[in-house]
Amino acid sequence: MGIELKNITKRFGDTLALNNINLNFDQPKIYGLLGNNGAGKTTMLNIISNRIFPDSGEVIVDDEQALDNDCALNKIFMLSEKNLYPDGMKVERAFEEAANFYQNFQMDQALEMAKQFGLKTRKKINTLSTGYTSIFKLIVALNVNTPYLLLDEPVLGLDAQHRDLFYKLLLEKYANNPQTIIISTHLIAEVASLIEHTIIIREGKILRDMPSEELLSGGYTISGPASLVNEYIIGKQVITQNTLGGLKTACIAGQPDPVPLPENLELGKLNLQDYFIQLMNKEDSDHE
Amino acid sequence: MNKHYLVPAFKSSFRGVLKSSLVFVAIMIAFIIINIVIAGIAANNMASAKTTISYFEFAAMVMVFVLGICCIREDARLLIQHGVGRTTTFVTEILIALATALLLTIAGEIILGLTQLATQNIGNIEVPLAYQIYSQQYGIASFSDYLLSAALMIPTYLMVFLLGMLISMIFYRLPKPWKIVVAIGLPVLCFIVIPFVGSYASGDWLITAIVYPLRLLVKFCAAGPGNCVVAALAFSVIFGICSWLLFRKAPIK
Repeated sequence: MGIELKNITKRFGDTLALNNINLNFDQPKIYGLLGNNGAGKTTMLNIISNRIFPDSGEVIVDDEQALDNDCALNKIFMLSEKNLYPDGMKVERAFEEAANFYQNFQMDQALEMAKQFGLKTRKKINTLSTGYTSIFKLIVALNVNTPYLLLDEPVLGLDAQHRDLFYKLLLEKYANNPQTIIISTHLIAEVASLIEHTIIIREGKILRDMPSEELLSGGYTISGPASLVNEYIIGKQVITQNTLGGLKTACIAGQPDPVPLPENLELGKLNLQDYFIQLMNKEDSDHE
Repeated sequence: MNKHYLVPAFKSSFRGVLKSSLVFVAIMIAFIIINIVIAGIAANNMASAKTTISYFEFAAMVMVFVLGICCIREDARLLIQHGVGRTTTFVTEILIALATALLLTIAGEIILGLTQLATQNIGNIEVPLAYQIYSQQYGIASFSDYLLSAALMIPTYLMVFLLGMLISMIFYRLPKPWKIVVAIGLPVLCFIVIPFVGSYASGDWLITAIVYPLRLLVKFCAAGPGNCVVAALAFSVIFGICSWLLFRKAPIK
């Protein structure tokens, strides 16, 4: 059970958006799909939800071909940056539409969430601000109760308070009704604590596909005065290093030495955002 | 395609079409009432009764054409958002085209019948399009004439809806520069280039090549209402198949 991507390749003219991608999204888990702009995240989600078609390869949902398969597609709800609702449709009408297609849609909860976020349900969707359009889509996504939820830039335009509320509601929902959630976002630091499994994509290729814990346990950070850090990192596999004034932070692959650290040096855990930045920097330098 | 998803898809998509159609019928009723009043005033100056084709059917054709253009894109976006595949979406559109044709035909025939009743005493009898084309008689259309009109208008509306859908899909699938080329080029080709070249070409071969098949078609349709129904259904099938070929792999995002 789960979503399986088999040898997915997609080109847009000269650009190879996805290059022979093989991935599994198991049930239930929260996945983080991370990548720079143009990495192929949205293309991948659009292919899973049948909005676009791959040049080659196939998508399998719960052992069924997803291509033009209503049963498979109805198990997936995708929240995309683009608004696919008709211009004149009101929020309350869109909730009714969702209830029409998804039997498990929780109308009461959707209306309650709308209240929490301060979303006016009598307003037309196309008159909502960017933030409230995202909120509207989030509320639908959180209440359709499909086994698979694809969230592409879910918090686009949301203020900090609403973003916090969304993450809380998402976790609450996940605790009550575990499902497979794929979050594609650039706000890595904010979702890092939610993500159980990280997929990092770059130029249509998967760079990392592993549990977040495993990913981050593969390294550590060391920070302190630049001279001491420089001394410490000799002979170690440095993923990246940043210097600010006289202070330096280095991310190092592997485990720290079991010997006591020199004074003024501080050992830290690798965080997802740092790891991502470092990995991208490394890829950039490898390309050069 | 899964029948389970067809019902909600139809329910969702038809709501907008029904609303638009009802607004259209209401506007048409208002126009027809105004027309009857004007005809009543004019009747005082007329020596004998005359028949007029009701403009409801022409206006309805334009309406159905516009619905055909608009529906497919809007519905496809909403349905894909709710996990409905291409085949179910397309079948839904065909059903909507049929339902719209049926709805406007029934509404049209009722309105035309009532209009005829209202106008027959004022000397300006409004009759259905089919009656004007195929009836050998002159004057008031009978109930069977209205049935014939309905039988003709359903496939006609269906054909026009599907033509609108096909044009919509062609423009949807074309790259941007080609959209501009076609939008400008087609009218220029039809109304300027062909008539101009045709008038200077020896023997008007170009015009003949275009007009001849059209003449054959008109002749075929004029032979009887049954032929016209067959032609409308045949064009519906052609437009439908072409639309499907364009739609099945169309990106919706």
